[in-house]
Amino acid sequence: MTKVEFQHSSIRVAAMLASVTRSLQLVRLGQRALPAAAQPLRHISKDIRVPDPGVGVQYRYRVQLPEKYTIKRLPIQKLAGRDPETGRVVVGTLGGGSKQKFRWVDPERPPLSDGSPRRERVLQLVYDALRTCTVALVAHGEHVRYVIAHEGMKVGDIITTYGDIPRIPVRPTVGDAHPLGALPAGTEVFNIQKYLGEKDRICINGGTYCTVLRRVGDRVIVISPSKRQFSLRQECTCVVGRVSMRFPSIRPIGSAQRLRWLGYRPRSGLWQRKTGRFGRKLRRPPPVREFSVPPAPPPEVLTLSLHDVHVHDPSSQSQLVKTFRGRSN
Amino acid sequence: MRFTPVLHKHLLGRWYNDMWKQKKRVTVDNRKLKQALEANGKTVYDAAKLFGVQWEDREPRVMETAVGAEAALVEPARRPEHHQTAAFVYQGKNLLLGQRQAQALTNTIQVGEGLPEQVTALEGLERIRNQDELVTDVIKTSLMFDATQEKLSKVIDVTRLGLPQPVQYGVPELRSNRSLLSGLLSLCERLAVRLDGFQSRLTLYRPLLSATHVTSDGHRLLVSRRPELALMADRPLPAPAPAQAVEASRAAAAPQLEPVSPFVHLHSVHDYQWRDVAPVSAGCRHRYVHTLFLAWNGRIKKWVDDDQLGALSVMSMHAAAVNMARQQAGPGRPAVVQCVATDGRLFKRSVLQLNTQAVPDPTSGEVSTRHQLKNLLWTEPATPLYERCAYTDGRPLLAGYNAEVFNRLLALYMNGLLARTVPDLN
Repeated sequence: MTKVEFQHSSIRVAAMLASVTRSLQLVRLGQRALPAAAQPLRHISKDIRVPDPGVGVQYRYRVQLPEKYTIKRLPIQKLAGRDPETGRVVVGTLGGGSKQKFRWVDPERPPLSDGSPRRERVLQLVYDALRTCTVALVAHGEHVRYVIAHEGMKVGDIITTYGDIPRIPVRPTVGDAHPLGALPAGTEVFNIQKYLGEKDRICINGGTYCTVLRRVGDRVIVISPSKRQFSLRQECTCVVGRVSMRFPSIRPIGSAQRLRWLGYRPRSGLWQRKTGRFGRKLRRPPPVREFSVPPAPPPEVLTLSLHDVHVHDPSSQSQLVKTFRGRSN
Repeated sequence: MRFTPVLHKHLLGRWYNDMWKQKKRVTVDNRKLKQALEANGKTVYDAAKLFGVQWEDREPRVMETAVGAEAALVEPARRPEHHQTAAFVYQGKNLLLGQRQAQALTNTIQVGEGLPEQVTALEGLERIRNQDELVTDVIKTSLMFDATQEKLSKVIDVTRLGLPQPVQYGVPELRSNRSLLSGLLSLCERLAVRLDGFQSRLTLYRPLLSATHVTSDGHRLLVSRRPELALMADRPLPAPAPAQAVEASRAAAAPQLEPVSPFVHLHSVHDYQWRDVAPVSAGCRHRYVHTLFLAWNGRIKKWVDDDQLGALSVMSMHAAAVNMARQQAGPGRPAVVQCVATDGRLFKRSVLQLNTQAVPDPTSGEVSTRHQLKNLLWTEPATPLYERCAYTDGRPLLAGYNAEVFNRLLALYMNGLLARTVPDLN
């Protein structure tokens, strides 16, 4: 270890010891010292941190997207209910199923770079096993891409994307994309942009749609299929209409074997008495949720160690193992 | 007692390690730090940029290069075929919009249904002795009576899904296609001998065809293709359409794909060979392309239908015709090329008359060539030569032989051979 590294590690050790001592004191006083990094730790010999299943995390598959957009079907890696980062099973009833390919659907509907409307022709309607909606292959100029198809879309249709917000709301045509501020109240929309410049979208599942309720200043309130209301900026784009349903539909399932083909493993089938927490609840809908800026990324969490050695050449790997064999962490 | 490592581990070690597990994860939250410092009048610099430090990777980077991947590691500027300008390259893959896209790319319009009267008048005019017997012999020899038996590419039998798929053996498609075509051509040559035109034809196997185009706004298009067979002639084919019909084509419109560009989904690459390649050099006697034979593997190419075959024919014929037109000095007669696209069973004939070498712009599409002359295309749907040619119950069987198909091939072959179809070269 060089002098600088030794100083760094010794500073860390000192900080560690200080906090350890403080923890000891707190323990003596009967209080528990919670760590700075939030996740809970199981008190067994293994150092396991199990994240809670979260919104926005997918446990069915993972896909490696290339640098450049492509309409080639991409292979997926099935996760069978595992968390993509930790590799631990979160959902026990996922696994197996027929092979599926990923189609990179472009969620964005931008106008042309000079602001004029972009007109695209629908070339094909494509079945996507990984979605509940139909996907459409559209082309403008030399650029071909997949977009989410609206209900009633046919091959040969022209879909237009507008970028401006006129003073008087437009008379919307199903399949066209407008900023939210250009649409009158009562319009059914889907594929709504949450934040400007970002790719997050609301309402992209098959058969769903949101409704534009009202305008409040430079914001627009929409109501989602789950009866929740969102306040979005009027510049956020959306597509007029309802999301198409996938054909053939998943439901009715028909047999247990078909569920296996869809990638579901058997459930226990044991009847369990349900308590008060189960079932539909009739609650007052939550207040309008405002989407303005995307949430900040979570802070960086460093994992420190007593024996943290910078390995600049591979030959020192063997020294590392020899010196610290038998110690955990 | 002495404080030994064993005693340490026994008393404090486990607790110490557990504390480390609790404490080792430290959240680094500098989000508000910069704001707080700047609010107090401090200037905040990025340390790495200030000292010009480059962070090194912790793990040593191990580069594993697959065989043939070394070329990709070479800088683009040092690759031999690298060009600054990108080019759209067509090498025979399916066009997204089929024959309409090929016509839009080559500024071509289709003239009615079927081949020109010049060719249809020759159907059935001349026959070879024992023609049907000889043709069926050629079919059986190339598809069944060939000692080369290999395991064929897998074709899923949808009537047996879930059951074991039987392994299929037979003559490889490439070989059977080539032997069938060369057998049929050798029968045509018998006719040529009788008509004293044998020496006016030359057969080439898998010649390279490459044609370069530059649009008016500077985009590059490269059409590069290897037809299975090219029949060369020592004199050009007569133009099926007279001059006034060619002039009238100005009013006709090539297929409009707007808002889609004719160049949609064509590969735009920087590594290509920018050259015009004709099957033979300009000084050769048989320098005129007479007929192209395009073979495709019907067994596995399930995405190839009549529309895509038409696209393939149009692009290949256009490349050959453009090369011929560029070889002749000065504007002369329009270049005419014939084409047969086949998978060994289906035969699709086409004829192209090249009146202009102009190619539309990717951005403006059909609009850029609206009032120019158009190239003329005659084509017909693919017709089967036979229905089934395979061993059935241990016996060779050829069923559903269609004698018309070879008559039509003969008509294409004879075009330009008979005295009345020989063009006036003066």
